[in-house]
Amino acid sequence: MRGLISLLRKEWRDIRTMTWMYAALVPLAMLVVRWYLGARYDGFVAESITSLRHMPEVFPVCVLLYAALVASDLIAGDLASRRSEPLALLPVGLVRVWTAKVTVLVGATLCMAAWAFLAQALTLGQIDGWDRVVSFAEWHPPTLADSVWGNIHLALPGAAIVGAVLLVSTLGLRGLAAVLLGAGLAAVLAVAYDFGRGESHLIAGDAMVWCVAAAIAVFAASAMAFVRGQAHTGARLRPALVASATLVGLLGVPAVGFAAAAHHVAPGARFTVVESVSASPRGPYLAVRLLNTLDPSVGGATFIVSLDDGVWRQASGDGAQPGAWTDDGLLPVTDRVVDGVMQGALIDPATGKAARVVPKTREQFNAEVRARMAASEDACYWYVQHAPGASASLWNVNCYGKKRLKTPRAVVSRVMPTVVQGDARARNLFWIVPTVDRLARLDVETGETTAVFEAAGRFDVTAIAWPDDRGVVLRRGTDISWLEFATGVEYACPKGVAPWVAIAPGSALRRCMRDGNVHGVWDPVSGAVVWEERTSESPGGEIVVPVCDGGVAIVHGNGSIRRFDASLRPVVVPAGGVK
Amino acid sequence: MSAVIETRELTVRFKKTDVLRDLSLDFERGSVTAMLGRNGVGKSTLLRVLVGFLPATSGRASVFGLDAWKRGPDVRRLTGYVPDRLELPRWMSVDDHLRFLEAFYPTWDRDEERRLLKQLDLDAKAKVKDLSKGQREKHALIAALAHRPELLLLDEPFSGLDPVVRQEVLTAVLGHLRDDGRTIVVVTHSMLDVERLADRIVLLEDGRVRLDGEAEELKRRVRRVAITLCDGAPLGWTPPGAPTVERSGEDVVLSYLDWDDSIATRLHADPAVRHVASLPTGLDDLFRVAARREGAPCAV
Amino acid sequence: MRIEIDPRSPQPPSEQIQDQFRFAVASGRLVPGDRLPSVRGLAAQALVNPNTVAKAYRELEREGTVETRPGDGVFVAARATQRCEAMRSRTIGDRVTRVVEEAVAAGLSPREVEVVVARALSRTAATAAAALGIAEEVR
Repeated sequence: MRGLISLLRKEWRDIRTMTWMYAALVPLAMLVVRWYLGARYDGFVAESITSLRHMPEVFPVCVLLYAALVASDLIAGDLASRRSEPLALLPVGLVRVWTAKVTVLVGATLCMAAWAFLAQALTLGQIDGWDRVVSFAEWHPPTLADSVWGNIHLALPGAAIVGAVLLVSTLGLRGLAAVLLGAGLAAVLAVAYDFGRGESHLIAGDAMVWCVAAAIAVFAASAMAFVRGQAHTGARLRPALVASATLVGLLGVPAVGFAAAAHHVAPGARFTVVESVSASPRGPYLAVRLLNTLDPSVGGATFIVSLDDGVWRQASGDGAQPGAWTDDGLLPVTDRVVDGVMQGALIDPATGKAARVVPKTREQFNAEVRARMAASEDACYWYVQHAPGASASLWNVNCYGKKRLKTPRAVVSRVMPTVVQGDARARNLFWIVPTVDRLARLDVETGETTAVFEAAGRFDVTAIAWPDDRGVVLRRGTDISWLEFATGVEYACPKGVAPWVAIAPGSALRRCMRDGNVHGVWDPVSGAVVWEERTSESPGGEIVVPVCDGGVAIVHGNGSIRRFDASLRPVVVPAGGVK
Repeated sequence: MSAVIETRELTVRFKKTDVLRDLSLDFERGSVTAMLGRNGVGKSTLLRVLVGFLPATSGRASVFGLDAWKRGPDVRRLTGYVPDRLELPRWMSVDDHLRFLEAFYPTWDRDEERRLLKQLDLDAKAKVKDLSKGQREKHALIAALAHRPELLLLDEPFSGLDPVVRQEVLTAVLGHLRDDGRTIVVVTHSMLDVERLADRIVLLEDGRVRLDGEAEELKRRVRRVAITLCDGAPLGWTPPGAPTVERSGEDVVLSYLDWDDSIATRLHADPAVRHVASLPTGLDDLFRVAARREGAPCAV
Repeated sequence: MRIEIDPRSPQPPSEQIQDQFRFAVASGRLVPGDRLPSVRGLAAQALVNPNTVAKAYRELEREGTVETRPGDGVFVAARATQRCEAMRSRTIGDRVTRVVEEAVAAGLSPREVEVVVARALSRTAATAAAALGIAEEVR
């Protein structure tokens, strides 16, 4: 017993200096993070970083990094150096020695966790008011447990750091190969972390900041664990260790940065595709919804493209879901703001800023979602229906049937835009609704719906728009796609849209192509049809739209070419012919 | 006397190299044994096995009748071990370390500790990291001696020390022998200290015992003579005994590990030998001669 | 009395101890009945293993130079003086013989050897006399 106490005391002395330094750094880190995020996001709610439930990066990284430091000093450092010898030569079993080490490691980490928690509460109280502290502290174990489990992937960057530090300190003393291995491990874990996580909490821009912070932390950890420790670094090894820590930073950080970039949703970005395009009824704007192919759950981004100047404006933050354009030319979007509160906004396409905001509290959101989840499978886009001014909850309109129908009926389908296509198809609902003046009457009561059926598996239709008196319909089969103009239930023959001039907007969108996916849009103002397709074959008797190098072509009925900016290189394609 | 240490067919293998091979040695209670041998012949390895730091690959080693590996903690409680290097945390002072150790040894003797600190003139408040080589050795020695162990294992305690410190260390080690029945095994290259300290010498070579005997007896039997052969000496003349032979010009130096005076008589009587002269010989010659390649009783 | 061990000497330490005691007895520095230092005391003073001292004492006792009185110590034996004188002569004789052999081997004539020995003798005697004189005064 006396021996164990002596061992515990010795191990504690080993990490004491480091612990005090670290304990002093923790509140500082909390303050910096609070300051940085507060300065970066308008309407930032302190709760979002400080609460254990909502954005727990700060807390686990603080604690895990400390655990890594201690472990590297007490365990890996001892193993790697001859410092373990005096312990092995004690007249007690090694089990006792390791018990002491693990006890000190666990105990000190728990204490540091408590201190980090306290520091968080103090930071919060000092900056955001003490009433926040109450809400911060108001967590109950089941919620916390759920949240910890749900956010377990967020511990991965910490694990990467732990692993790298441990490996480097265990093996680093035995040559550069081990050092490279440690750095590689950090990089692999970092990439795995970013690829494997679910919904992104690390906003693209922030990821680099976090990574640089982590790299500095790893470097500092190495410095504290090795460079200052004569006991297990000779002058000869010191450069190798410094180099190893630098390598971890050099390899690990870009790896995370790359991974973060891979999740970045922007026109022309890697792994970004166009999910949907819709044209504004009141101006030369396209609403383009972009999606990340690597990780659909990352959420997409909605951009408004001005056909006048080709400028892309992001409608709001990542994760915004566009609804259908309103009659007065605003784009309803949902927005997942930083603090987790869902709100809808009507975006003015000229500025990209919200003209009106319809906030919802998180509680309301949760309640409504739950209610709708129970009532309808349409719940995913409830907000579109509820966004003020949204003209329709009907996403797609198309003609049904192989033959021209004389009866004025429109097939109206609903698609849940948040879901990727393969998934969404099963959820397409179709109504056949009466038409008035060969227009689908979207405002009719549900009772007048003539039929509701699922289109699953037969064919996939996506109406682009319903401008003026025509429905522009895009059809997708398994191998082929074609474009149809429909008026009511009639196929439309777009005699007025000629001569055909195709303009490919250039590389930005061209790279966003996806096999088997065709999107299009009708620009009612300019009379342009915009589509994207990859298939050259079309069934006879239909309007065949020429393929434009797999890119998006803009067809101008008036024959004029709208010039985009330099990157959107105009490509003139011979008209496919008008039948 | 009974054996404090017994090894039987002790073999220790690192990777594919046998560091110790079939070593069977007894170390009697009260004896002071010097382990000699060139670097890397397994002397330190033997000590490490004896304190249960390394397991035997085969065979066994027991100390105080306890299996050194399985009962390592008990063995170490009764043993003082001065390793060739002691890595300690930088924050530790000499006193911190001694207090740390004290908790593990029921027989720790504070008076002895104080006496040793005074005798060796070591400042207990000094940080371990600031100690000079000599002070580190003294510190390690105090750490090993303060619990008054029955068995003391010293790994190169004198290497790299200046004569003053060496004498202090030697005095402290000899001081430990004041009490009856203290056993010492010392690995060293310092022959002058072996002379004073050891009553038995074991010389290892390639993990095996090359020479083992009473120190004074071995010293008596090691002898180097220079002879000059007559011009008419027969080709392939063989010296008496089994010396190693070196030629330096006209002279031939014969190095014996098994000298007795009859060899002198035979040399003098040999008609082929014109002149015989003894060369000054000491224990270090024993080491040198033994360490030389074996099997050199060749013809001149 | 002080015993010095020369580790460089070809003579083993226990023999060095024996010789030094024998010479002391022969020269009268130790007389029968004098107590020898304890084994551990001598070991600490001469910086040798106590076993070595014990061995020297055993040898001296075997040849009758000293005797052990249990519980009391080791003492110079009665009639040790003559025996030690004889042994001294033999030991010194051996050493001188070795030196003379070396001198002859080196090519010195007997006459030259005699001169060298006589010169060394007179120098040593003068030193010894001076030393004795001082010792006498001190006494």
